[in-house]
Amino acid sequence: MTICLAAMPWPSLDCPSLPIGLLKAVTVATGRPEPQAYHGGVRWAEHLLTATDGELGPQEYTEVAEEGMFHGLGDWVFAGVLNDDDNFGVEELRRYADDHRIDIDLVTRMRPYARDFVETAARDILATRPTLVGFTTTFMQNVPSLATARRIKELAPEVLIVFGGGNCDGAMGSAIHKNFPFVDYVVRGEGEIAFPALLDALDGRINFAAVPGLCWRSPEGRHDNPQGALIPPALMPIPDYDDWFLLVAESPVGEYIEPKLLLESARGCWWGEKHHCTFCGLNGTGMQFRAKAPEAVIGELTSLARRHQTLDAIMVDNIIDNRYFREVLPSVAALDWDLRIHYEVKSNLRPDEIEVMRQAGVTHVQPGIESLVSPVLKLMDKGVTGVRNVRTLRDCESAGLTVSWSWLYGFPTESVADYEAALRQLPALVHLQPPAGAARILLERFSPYFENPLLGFPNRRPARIYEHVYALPPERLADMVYLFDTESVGLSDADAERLSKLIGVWADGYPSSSLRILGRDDEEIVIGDRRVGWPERNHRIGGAAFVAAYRELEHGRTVKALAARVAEYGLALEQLEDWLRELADHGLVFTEQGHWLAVATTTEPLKVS
Amino acid sequence: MTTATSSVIDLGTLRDNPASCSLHVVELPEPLRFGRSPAQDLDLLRLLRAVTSHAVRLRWTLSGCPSFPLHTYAHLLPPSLGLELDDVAHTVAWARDYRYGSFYYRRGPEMVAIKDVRPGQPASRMVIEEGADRFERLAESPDGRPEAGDGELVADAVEAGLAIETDGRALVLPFRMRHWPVPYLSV
Ligand code: SF4
Repeated sequence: MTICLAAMPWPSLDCPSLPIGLLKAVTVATGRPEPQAYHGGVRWAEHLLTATDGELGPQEYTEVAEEGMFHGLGDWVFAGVLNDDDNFGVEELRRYADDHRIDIDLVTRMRPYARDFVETAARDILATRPTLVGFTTTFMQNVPSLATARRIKELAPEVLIVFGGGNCDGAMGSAIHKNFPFVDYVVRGEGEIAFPALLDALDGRINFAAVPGLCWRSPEGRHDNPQGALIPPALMPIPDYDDWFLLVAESPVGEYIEPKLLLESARGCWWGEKHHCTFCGLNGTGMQFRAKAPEAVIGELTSLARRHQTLDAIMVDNIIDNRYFREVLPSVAALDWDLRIHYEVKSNLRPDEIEVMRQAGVTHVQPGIESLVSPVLKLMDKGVTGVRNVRTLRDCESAGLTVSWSWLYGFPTESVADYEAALRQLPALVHLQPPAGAARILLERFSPYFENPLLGFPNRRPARIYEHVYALPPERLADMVYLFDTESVGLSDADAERLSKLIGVWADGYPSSSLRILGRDDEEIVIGDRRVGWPERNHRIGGAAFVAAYRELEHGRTVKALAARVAEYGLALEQLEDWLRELADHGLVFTEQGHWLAVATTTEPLKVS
Repeated sequence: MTTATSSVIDLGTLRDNPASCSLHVVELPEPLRFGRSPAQDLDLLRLLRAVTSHAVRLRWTLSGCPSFPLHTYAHLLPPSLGLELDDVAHTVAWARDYRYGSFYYRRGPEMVAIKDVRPGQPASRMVIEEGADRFERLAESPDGRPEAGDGELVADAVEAGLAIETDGRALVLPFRMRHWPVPYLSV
């Protein structure tokens, strides 16, 4: 059997496909020939470059890939091809864009090239003479994959079409199988065991009914096998990226990108196992946390960095394993390589954990900060407070780590009053990294809000974005899609506008703002204030008692706890309260729900715009 | 305790331990005097390369003009305390062309990766495999004196625009990336 694995647009252009890398490795491990790979993202960017004489290319691809997901824009580009109607979804998208005030010029310019590309892709894939083509689909890959699969089936009906990946998890996989008869098989859930088992079934060695999670057809009809157990970390293979690195070395797209390794050290989420964040559907049916052994992680990172001479790595884990702060990162730091690593982390990081990340080359973190408002964080079941999140922002700033986060609102029972204290203080945080923006939460499949309508979203329907993507009625879409529309709850749009404006001011002011401790000893702390919107000055905190109190505030304390901790200095509670108010007037502390946190950083990172 | 927004530092201390000033604002009271001899200029540029690599927010005054073309050092921290006497246009051009991280190298497994996005020329990335360790030793050598047998390495580096040379001493131009900026992918 000859296999071709395809990853269609819109994965990031500068990374290889992890699913293809993994499936290649597991297929070879079963003694079969190495599958061919079709990297549709790079190919689509090349196609655009050539067809438009450089007017559209990798940069525009990346814009759609990064911004298009929540509006279904990447899928829409290929929706005319899938539905065999060049006008399909055009009016719908126009109306949607008007209502949501989004710019669709770029995708409108791209769409005319989609049909030729799908034709070329189908023929290129068939040129590898496959008996089976496996499409891996996540986020906006569904429609380009379906369009290409459909064309392959038209050109070569004997070629088997298999779908798998995040978009096929649970009911979504069955629905794809049901809605698109040209898809012969769908592998639902993790592929490491199921995919080789499907190959065994196709070879007649086992029954199709024995393939975990498989959707298949027999003369009796359609079957959905139950999904298999989640695989243990020891069975997660090292991805094979050889062909992708060769491809980008020769592709004109190579000029536009800096290749990065895509690695996974863990699947699932240890926090979500105990407290599933109410809005999060990210882990699908695979919440159970499974982290690779530290030696395996170090081995994988070093061997792939060496093999591909690549020092940038994106760890795809939804959350870092806490063991790695002790058992992986110090060893990575000891290599003394100038790595640049991305990791998602929990936001209750300690300074020593931040420091070991910095030393190891973890230069970018996504700490799961979704708000600075404690009552709302409680609704999310995040297990952190607003003060804790500000502390993480402060400490990452001091360590020079880039922090990515977005502010989410629209939670059931949240009120504008909950936000007041935090919003009033946002101007004081202008020296810390701002959120990318504010967004109303979307109802995601697999999230507690989706699974339990009693939590606040009783009515739901497939999100409107799917109207300009699929020619399917809502009842056939309902099981296939990931995002749902509901009634808006929590902050009104007008309230949210205020939040967005404040965030805009924050983002504008950040590059030229700093609030940094310039010097400190037991008697005095000097804080240089160069924040946009605040008078330029040096604040002085004088006297051993207040210096000690300030040090305590760096951890975030209630007034009572603070008084207890500096009791030896004999400061009265009222004195401390007055002092805290004074610090607050100067924007030197962030306070919420009775906790006070000093916000000055110890150093200021280099900022390059 | 240090309370000034920028503290004064002497040349010797800065030269001996630039890492101790990483990310801090420090000020050199004396101008850096260029143009006396190419060898001395090379040494001063070596200092500026260390300062840039260690992300020292050095405020310094320029006197004279380096005896090498601007594109060989425009990626190194320019003067910000003004200049003495000489060429204003040159200093303005240096400040205009400077952007942190426009020409740097990274240490990796038996290799050195170099990125060059200086203005006015095509961007380039390259990897040195053979002789990566010797290249690195040359880059980090305190005086730029090549080790025995490194003649070809220096000649190749100069030809590739990765180094300048004078009086038997070399300066590898890209600095080692020790401090990633925010945002981390901006360089
Ligand atoms: S939001 Fe992050 S921490 Fe929460 S359940 Fe999802 S992956 Fe886990």
